[in-house]
Amino acid sequence: MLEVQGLAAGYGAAAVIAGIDLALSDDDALTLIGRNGAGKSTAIKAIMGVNRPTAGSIAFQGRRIDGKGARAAALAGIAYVPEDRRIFQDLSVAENLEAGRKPGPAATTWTAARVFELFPEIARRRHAPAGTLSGGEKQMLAIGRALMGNPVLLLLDEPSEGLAPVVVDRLADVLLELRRDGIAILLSEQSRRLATRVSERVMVLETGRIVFSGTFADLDADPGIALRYLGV
Amino acid sequence: MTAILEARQLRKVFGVTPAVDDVDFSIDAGTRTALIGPNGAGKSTLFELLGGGLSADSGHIAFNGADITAWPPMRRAQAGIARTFQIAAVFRSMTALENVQTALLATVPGGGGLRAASSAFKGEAEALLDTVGIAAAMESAVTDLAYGDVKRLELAMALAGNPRLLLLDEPTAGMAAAERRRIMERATGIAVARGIALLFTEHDMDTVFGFADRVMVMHEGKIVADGAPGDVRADPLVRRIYLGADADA
Amino acid sequence: MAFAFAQFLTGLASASWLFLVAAGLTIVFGVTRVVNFAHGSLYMLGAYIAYSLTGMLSLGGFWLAVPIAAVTVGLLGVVLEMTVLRRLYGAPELFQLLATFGVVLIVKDVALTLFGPVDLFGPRAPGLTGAVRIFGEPIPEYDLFMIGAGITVLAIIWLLFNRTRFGILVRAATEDAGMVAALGVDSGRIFTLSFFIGSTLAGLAGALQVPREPVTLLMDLNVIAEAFVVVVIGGMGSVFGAFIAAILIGQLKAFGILVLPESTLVVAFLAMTVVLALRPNGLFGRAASGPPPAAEIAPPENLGRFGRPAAIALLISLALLPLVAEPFILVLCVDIMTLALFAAGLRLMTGPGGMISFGHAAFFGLGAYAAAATAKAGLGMVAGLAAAPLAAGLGAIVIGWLCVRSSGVYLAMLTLAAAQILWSAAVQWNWLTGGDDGVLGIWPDRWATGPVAYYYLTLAVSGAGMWLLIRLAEAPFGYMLRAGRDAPARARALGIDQRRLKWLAFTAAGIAAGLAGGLAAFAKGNVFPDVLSIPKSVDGLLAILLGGLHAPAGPVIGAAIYAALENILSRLDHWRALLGLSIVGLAVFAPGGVGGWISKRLRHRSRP
Repeated sequence: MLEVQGLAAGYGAAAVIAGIDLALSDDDALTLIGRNGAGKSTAIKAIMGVNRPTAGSIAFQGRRIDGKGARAAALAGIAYVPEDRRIFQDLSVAENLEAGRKPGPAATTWTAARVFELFPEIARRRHAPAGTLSGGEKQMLAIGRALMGNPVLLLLDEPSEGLAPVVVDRLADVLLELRRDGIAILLSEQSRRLATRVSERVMVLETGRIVFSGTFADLDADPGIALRYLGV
Repeated sequence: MTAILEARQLRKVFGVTPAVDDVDFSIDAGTRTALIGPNGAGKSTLFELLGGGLSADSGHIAFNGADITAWPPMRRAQAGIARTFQIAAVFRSMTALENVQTALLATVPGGGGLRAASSAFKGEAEALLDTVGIAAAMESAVTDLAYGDVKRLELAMALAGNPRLLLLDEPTAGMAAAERRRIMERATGIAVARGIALLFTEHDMDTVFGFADRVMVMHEGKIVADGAPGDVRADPLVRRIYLGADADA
Repeated sequence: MAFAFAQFLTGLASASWLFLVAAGLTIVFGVTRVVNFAHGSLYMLGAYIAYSLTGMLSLGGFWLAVPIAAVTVGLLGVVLEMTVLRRLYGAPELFQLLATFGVVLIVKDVALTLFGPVDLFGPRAPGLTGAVRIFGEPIPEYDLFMIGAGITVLAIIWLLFNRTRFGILVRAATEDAGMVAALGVDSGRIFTLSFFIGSTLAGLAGALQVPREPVTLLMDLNVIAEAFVVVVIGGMGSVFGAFIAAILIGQLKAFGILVLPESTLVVAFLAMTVVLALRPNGLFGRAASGPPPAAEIAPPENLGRFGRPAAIALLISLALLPLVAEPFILVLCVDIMTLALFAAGLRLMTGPGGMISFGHAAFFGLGAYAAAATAKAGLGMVAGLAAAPLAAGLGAIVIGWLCVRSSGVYLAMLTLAAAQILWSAAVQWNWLTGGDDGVLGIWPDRWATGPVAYYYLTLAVSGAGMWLLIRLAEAPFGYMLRAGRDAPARARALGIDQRRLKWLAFTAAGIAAGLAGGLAAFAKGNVFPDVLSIPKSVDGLLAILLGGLHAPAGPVIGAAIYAALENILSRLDHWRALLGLSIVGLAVFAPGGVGGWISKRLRHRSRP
């Protein structure tokens, strides 16, 4: 479904990521892990088209989407949950979801009602300005807003950051359910609590390059990698 | 040893969640303390409280015997607290040398009149760039420097004011292992030589255990462990926070 | 009591009109982050089109002319968005302001050609020509209609923004246009449609104003200043804020006119000053996030290896010029040198200081009037040339203290406000300034009379001034000023007191402008209120834009090119439109300016 080859991106002359290859098939999931500044966010933004890649190709369902911008990626069926959530603070919860809806004849599996079913916490606050939500509720809203576009691939940038452990566990349940529904997930995480439950596959990023690729089981089999690159 | 910095019941709340939750600690002169903890633990907020970028909701900070809780960053800098930023902040329109010259000029009350700044403190600035190991790049525009060199430059600028306390916010983020070690060797070497107290946040444990003589662990806004590196490493609570509940197995 | 109520209704009517203009401006700013100076031009076009259509259509045609004019202006706005504005999204504010000011000049020329220079008096609104008595006071029916129109438009905007998907997306784009695009929305279309709405509102306001005041070529800049005030007080991007601010200003004007009949503009600007001092982002505004875009484009700045020899060569040739040149060339050179000095101060605060001033004419004018007053008091030219920078410097200390608390567009608006206050004072305070008739007969002392003598005087004074300004930029002061612009947090962490440095830079720029104003006053022999006007401020900005904002030699090069350009263009028909087109082209295609280009070459070559 997603095929990334030789992806490089960065600001100005300095490349933050380089030579990133990854592939994702339908209902697959993959976690990018790595320390702060390793390039996880940059990689996800480059795939979404929020940042323009400086080299490499991104093919989604057989079509090239690199260099076409975030809107093209969204229309192709990719949804993005940014690290800082970027929900619209002045809009109500319901309006945020409306902004994520793609109008048109396409089959709509996701509606506001279904998002509210998934996240009862924000259903109660549907008319409240989104800026008044707590961190966890904002994260739920950002994911709900992404789902409203009926994506086939969900990009999540550090979804568990700043969330209480119980909320992280709930989030893991939700993401597993989405995978069962056939949505592929690409995730960047520092915390393993969420990552190991959602995906089997993992890539370790270090100074913008992939230094390990395999399953979490492989990763745990080699404690040297964890110690060197992740600081645990 | 005497405490150069003391934080008492320091607290900062964002919305309803306390990011820094009634924290108490003190830093002794000439020591090297690492502040670690998972993302969102409150390290950056605590750093901003110490640097003056954020003001505390309650509690007190004393530096060198003076209560600096209400001081703006500028005044704290003048008093001897220097810092680096997580994303290195340098002056983009200048060369590396000019960046350090500007930092040195900032220490002169009144600025120094109309004489050309390009020849001011040239020797001192070159010496500082040499100390952090980038003397060869001093004529380069900072936009042409490699990321690691920008971090070194920032360190040189922080040292310009002869600080008593140096706050380094993730000094090695985004660097390869060998580079990390080199920059930390420089930083700790300088700190020891000049008797500067060092407080740094860090994710890389090799760096933490290799260069700190004391480790403080933050979790959910509180300091949950504090002591010698070996003791902290063995602390079961710390292991649980870092490895997660399911990693105990 | 009845009188007060009538006054209150009059205030509401003018508030409604202000709201119509300001709502469009604030919507456009909210979504596109562009401060559209040309909004006033769209308003003026609305008035002209409605006036013309009313004449063409038969009786009662006014009510048909208003919607047609509004929509026509809306469509013109779309053309403007697609040709000019779209290229400016994300550009530094200075370029946006200048480019849209270029559009102001173009539209003015087009309006002059199509509608002529004469003030046009429209008919009263058919069916609403009378007055009704409320508590015994006569209230014009049209005023009541205007109040209704304002409230209706507010209601329609509210419904559109809160009850339609388009409105939700517009509000979302106002907060984070990038995220809206990442949700698959065509944000370009949202921008264009918002611009259509904003322009339609401007056209509507202009059209509805036809029965109330004559249609003139001055409507554009007169309304834009007031509309900016309303938008800034309300908080840029907030429609509701604009509504509250419009009522505030409308009432202040309605009642202020009773207390200080000469100072309606002053009242509006004072209100803005007070609000911004208390709430730097306006009543309902929000602080802009992220670093100012100007920091992104600042290259290293110095004269370079060839700078000093070039400066000396220029000085020598200027010193020898009177031996060969005709007197009119010398007069032109005096103009260029005063403009260069004016621009050099402005460059210090805009380039290294990172502060955009849209009202730097305030200090030029203060200097000019101070010189005039001193000369008229019989104290002579030397005292006049000393009083000019002194008065401007004092003005800059006061105004600067207030302005450096803000940044970006807010700072630009505050400086604009300061200049407009002084301008309206100059127009209204006849006893001091002679009003529109100006101060005449300000002549140099005997020894400095004649083109050659005054040329040398100007060369010496402005040369010394510019030398000092360049030294300042190269001194520790200039470095620390740039430090605060490049990385404010870093500068603070080094103990640099940015606000003080900015204040000093602001004051230095004011002193230079005042000196330039004094020189210009004695060169011309007279001073009129236009020394304080927006176009005068734009002169300085254009000179530094042409010369290159970050090139220390830029003001000299820019002033020379600008004077030459003006000299050539002013002989042609439609020189305003041509000048406007040049400005737009420059801001869009050559933001580094000529000086920036040259110094880049030189630096490139002088590198080992």
